[in-house]
Amino acid sequence: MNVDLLLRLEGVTHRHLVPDPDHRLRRRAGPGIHDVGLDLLRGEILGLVGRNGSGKTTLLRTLAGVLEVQAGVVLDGEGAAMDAAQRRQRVGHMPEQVRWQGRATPRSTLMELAVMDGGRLDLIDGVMRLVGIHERSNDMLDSLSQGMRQRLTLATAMLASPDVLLLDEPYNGLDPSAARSLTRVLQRLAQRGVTVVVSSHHLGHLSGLVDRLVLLERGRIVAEGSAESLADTIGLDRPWVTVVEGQRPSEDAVALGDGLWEMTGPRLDADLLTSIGTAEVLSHGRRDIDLADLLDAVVARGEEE
Amino acid sequence: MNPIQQWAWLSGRRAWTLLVSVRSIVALPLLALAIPGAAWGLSDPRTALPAEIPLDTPMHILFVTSLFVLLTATLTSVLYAWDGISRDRASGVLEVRLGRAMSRRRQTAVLLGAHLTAAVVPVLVLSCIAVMIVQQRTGVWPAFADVAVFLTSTALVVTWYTVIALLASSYARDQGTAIAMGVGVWFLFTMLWLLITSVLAGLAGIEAGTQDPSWVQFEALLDLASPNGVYHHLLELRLPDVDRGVRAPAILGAAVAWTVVPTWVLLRRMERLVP
Repeated sequence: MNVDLLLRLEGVTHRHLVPDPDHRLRRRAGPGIHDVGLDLLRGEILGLVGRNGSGKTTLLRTLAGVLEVQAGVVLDGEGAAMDAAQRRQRVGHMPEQVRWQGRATPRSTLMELAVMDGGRLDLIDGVMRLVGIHERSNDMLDSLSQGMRQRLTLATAMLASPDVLLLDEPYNGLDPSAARSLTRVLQRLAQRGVTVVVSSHHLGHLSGLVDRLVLLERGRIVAEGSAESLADTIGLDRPWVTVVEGQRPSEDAVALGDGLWEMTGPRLDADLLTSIGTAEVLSHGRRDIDLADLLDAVVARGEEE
Repeated sequence: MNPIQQWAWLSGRRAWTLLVSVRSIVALPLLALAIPGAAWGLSDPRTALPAEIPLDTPMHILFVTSLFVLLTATLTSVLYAWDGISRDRASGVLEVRLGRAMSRRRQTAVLLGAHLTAAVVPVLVLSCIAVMIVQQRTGVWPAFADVAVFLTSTALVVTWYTVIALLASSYARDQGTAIAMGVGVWFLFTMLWLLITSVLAGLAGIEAGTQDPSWVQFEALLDLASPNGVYHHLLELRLPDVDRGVRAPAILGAAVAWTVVPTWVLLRRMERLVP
């Protein structure tokens, strides 16, 4: 038994019901997540990436106990099956883009949700400070900006001190400063042993934050690991990028200004060094992984199969 | 907090939000004009209604007042409940709520508690005022049983409309559909039911709108399928001069069915609701 294991998904499936084109009044199983197997370890930050409709939100909602597990099982660290109610006790869920509205205030909204969680009202002030909404705690919801609403949604997820925090596109609507402070908060929570699962379309937000990426495509996990290992698993073409200073090293080199040149090609070897001539090599490394490239490679591989 | 305190706290809070909302500015004056206003006018000894509808006793006055209750109290419950679920669903707040530790069954109980409190309490307060007005104007207190049946039936009909409107709201994916369903249900039972009854009577070979016993009984039977009809049946239990051929157990059974079945369907629906 892995002592750090917090939750294990085995063959978890949830398919949404969609209108059946052949029978007007009937519905049939449509897209969703299929046969998902995943381990969540204590204190890790896991990035969930995939295209629109790949099943990220469905997976998060299923984990959060909002959607039922139609097939498969979710196990706790001891190996005991967890139903939706048990998952809701341990998981904090931040849905994507909640449009808080009305004359209630963030404080009163959090009070209501805290009572629904069992009445830990003493946590409200701390959570509001943590997400940076305490100065607006008594303003009307109608007056909050999108960024403040996003922070409030984050606060609702953190309210019950969950073991697992599920965040669906948490960076949407946040300014760069707020995004950076969110990253810091998530890192701090992970250090305290909270497992964080973040879904995002933007790998940039996840790089440097996540310990592991999980790539979803058509409701299935197609790869997991670090961004580099994902790229290698999928066979993503990642050429080496060399930045040199001095004379233009070759016809293909791209000028960066101030006498700097960027060359894209193979790994640095004796032949390449010879071709560079007198220019000084400033950096040499593989091109950063772009999520769009990664997803395109997954789709291309799926079509080939 | 124990579960009862939790339910009371959450229901009371949400009910208060509804009672101080803009929609109350529309609903409460309507209720005040319709219920105590009708009782005031109908208890005037000079008032004479068409078709020789009697206003001889306090219960007769309350019975006719119930027509105004049906028009306004049911509309009020729809006004409060038409977006009770769809609004939170459209804004994403429903997903936040469904993700809480509290079970969906108990969340539904909170939802019902809030909307019923918001709709029933003002109607009952105004109905009590109507009873006092009748006493002041006629000099006769209605019998305790008459008042109890009037208030209980009124609370029940508001409950039925609230549950039905919440149920409709749970099926609506946008606000336009939600209001269409809420108002549609109200319109069906308040305005169109007589038309439906007449058409069905015609199809059954019964001449509608006459004093013929077969029509009276047919209409009374079909009234059991309408919350408004059951409301009037319940009130007629306290009017000895009215007998439309439907026995009390059938009326009480219909009242129980209108209470239990939509509530059960709503609970089942909430258990499976996808945000």
